Amino acid sequence: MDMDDGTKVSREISYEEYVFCEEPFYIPVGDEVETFRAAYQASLPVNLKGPTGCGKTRFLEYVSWLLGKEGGFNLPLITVACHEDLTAGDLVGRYLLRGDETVWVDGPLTAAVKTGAICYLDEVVEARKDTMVLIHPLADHRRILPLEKKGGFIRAHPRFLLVVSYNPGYQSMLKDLKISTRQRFAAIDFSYPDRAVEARIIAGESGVAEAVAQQLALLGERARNLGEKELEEGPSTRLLIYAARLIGQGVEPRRACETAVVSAVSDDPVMQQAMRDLVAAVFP
Amino acid sequence: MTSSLNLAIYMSALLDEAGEAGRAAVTLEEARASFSLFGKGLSEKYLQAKPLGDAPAILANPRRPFPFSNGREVYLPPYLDVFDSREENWRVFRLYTSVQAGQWEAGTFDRPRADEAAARHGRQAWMERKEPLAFLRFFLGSFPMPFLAADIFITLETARTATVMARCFGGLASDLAWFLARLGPNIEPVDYRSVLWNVFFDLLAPLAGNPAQRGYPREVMAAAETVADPGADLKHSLDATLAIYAILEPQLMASLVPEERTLLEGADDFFTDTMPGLRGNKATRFGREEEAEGIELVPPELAEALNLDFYSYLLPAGIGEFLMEDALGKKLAQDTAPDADRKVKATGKEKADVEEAGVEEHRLLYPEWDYLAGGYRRDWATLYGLRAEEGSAQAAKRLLAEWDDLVREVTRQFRMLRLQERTWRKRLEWGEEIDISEAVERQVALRCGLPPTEKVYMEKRRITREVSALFLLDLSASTSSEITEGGHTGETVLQVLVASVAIMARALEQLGDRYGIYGFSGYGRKRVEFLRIKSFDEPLGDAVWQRLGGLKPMKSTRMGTAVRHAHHLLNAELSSLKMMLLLSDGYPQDYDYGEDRTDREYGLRDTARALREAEAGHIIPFNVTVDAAGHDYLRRMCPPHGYLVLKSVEDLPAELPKVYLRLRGS
Repeated sequence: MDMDDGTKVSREISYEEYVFCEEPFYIPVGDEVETFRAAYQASLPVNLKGPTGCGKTRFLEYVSWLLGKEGGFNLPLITVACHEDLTAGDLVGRYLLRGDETVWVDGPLTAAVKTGAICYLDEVVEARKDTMVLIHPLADHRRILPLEKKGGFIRAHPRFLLVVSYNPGYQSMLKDLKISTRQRFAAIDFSYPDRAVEARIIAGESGVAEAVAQQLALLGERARNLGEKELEEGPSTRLLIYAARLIGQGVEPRRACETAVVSAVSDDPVMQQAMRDLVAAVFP
Repeated sequence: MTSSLNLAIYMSALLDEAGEAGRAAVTLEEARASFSLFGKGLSEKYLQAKPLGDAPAILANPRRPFPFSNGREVYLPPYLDVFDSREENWRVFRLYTSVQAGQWEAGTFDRPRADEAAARHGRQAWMERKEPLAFLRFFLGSFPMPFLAADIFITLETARTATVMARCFGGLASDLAWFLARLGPNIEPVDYRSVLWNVFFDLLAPLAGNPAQRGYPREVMAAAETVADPGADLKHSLDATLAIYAILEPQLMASLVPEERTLLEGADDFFTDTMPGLRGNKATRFGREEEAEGIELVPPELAEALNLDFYSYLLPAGIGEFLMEDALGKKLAQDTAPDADRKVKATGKEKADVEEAGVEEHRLLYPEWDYLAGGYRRDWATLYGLRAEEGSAQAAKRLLAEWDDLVREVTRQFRMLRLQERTWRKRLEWGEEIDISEAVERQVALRCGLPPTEKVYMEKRRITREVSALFLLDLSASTSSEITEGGHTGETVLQVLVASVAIMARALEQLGDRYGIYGFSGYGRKRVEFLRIKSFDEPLGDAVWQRLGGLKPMKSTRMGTAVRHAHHLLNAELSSLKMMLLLSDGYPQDYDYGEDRTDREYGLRDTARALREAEAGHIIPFNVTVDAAGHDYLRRMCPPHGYLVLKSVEDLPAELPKVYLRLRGS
């Protein structure tokens, strides 16, 4: 909400209201937009796989806006950050005590199913497997959501789509999707964009000069070479954008990278020093 | 003749021996780990940082501005204290690493494809060698005077590499300009090496901001200058080498005295040691006054080789990749065949083969990862599954008694955890279910006009977990060392290791998780000993205590094989959560763990690979070490959250349960 003086204040909005009126900034890397559109039109649930900060959420915001615009309707995006203690009730809804009576309150998934929104289960493998079984009837040809506690089910709105995301890199050992869950989704793989595209994204998101964006993209590309054993995951595009924003605020580039990239990706002093030298190799 | 700064860099290690390190000094020891990583960042290849003195003279000497990498190592000063500030000395390390790592970026190790070379020139062997410098060794070694060709090529290629890197990396360009300004000025061209020194500086003159200063034949620069052009590749350097060689060689022949010839002949070993079939023949060339005419100044086949298409040199890698049917693979297969028990399978499937009753339980062959070959050595290590010798159960229990308070605390903690996992959490302000009794209480309170509770929900946040944990003890000889301070002074590292797993065993009995305890040691790849102390199915009875009491420090630490066998044992477990806790006191080491017994790299890489295999098998490996220097190698062996280095051995019994619970997600 805008104040009279132009500043913004926060405001509580319902799930259904979370609609993108303006085009979110997104640069396609491949054919992911076309693929997603086809999946949406075929009512196929989608699994977005990729490392942290590579643009999965932004992509979904973009396609939510795009599909709504193309179809001439509002397509809300309802996001649920999954975690280990996420229960079926957190997704579907529950009875609450209000005064003398119990009142049923829809969870985000039920709200999305009813209103015809995209329900985005972020980092889905963080949720317990028994909780995720709940989405099975919703993620196949039935497209129904059982409401066990109400003794019925809801048939999904035609515009409803279920989307999940996860990062295969760091979740493979301990947590993984059940095969029966995984095989209900069409999967789109995401990775960090190539250097030229990433530079455009950095420049577009932060407003820094193209040359600075290219240097940051170069830094990101090389720092990701440190991956696998030495570094759990290299700096994300998101972190590079943070660095760019700091630079845009007048912070000296090396200092900005120290704050937004070096210290953010590792606590290991040796790794930090190697990253610091990479920054020094990129920025004079 | 060389620059005084360059000489000082090469000499500083020697100067250091005479006195204390200055405040501004940087040592390779402190910089090694981060510059190896830095090199990987630049080049995608893990380049081992080694002292300049370890490099063959042909690759690094004070007559050249920068050392030249062999593609696997970068050469750095062992000690550097030539500038007033530490930042400047560090900057030299960074620049040295950048220029050498940049050889991968610039395509120095590209080569023609083996089949094309074979079809057109009958030269194939050198193309197939899994060594980055193989083609260049062949090419330069084919000249009549390989050392001269190598000097020319390395000078030009370093200039090209530095230019490529400076164009790409702005920070590096400024480092380079700063360093060259201090390394120069040009020196008097008294011999061919000083000519090459000046050529290097003149090629980089635009970067350094210095005007070119020739002092050598114009044709030399005419041939060389293309290497600094944008888009110049390896072929440009090789082409220019051919041309400049033809100019410099006659001058060199005319000026050399016999002693110099003898000295220079030594440099040819770099090419001929590993390339016995090369055309280049220094004896013939040096003796040409007395011998034949018609020896080509530059072999025509070299120029022809440059007409082939060059490709990136690819390192084969990847989990599950095995050696192809190449020369190395055949050789290794032959080496392993005679002594191995061919009845047992290398896949890790056990075959009961109890020949020596009571001790040896089985024998298995495991592959080993050879990072140099980029593949697995098939059936390379023989693992002997043994039942640990029995000692005194009382001795083991006495060890446990020394940690009595800790045992009680950990046991209580684990017992509580078990209870928590089986109960609903009630009286929550928010939860999955309404707790009827709390809801009734709330209604009663409301009707009585009392403040109602909001905690009327309940939730079952965790379910009982199925867990299998394997404790793997390093039983190498070094565990015999004694603790020198603290409350347990005089006890050996092994005793503390045993106490730690004994505490865990007691606690896990409370929790109900499945667990096994094993130890490993051995000597050489033909005998890796894997001791069973407690299998997963065995109860914690007298026999287990006796085996714990009978453990003794043994021999070496061939860790990769032990990890693979532990992986194999965990594979048979049906639990959803499988953990492998490796308790060690040092880095992987065995007398034949790699070509050079002093080199840790092979063992590190093999163990790292074995740990990754375990991860791929949905097992969580975790390494706890009591080696205070463990960070240096564990960061390369394990993921950042996959290991713990303890400052004191005594911390292990208290830390191990915490690690266990963290991994278990409790």
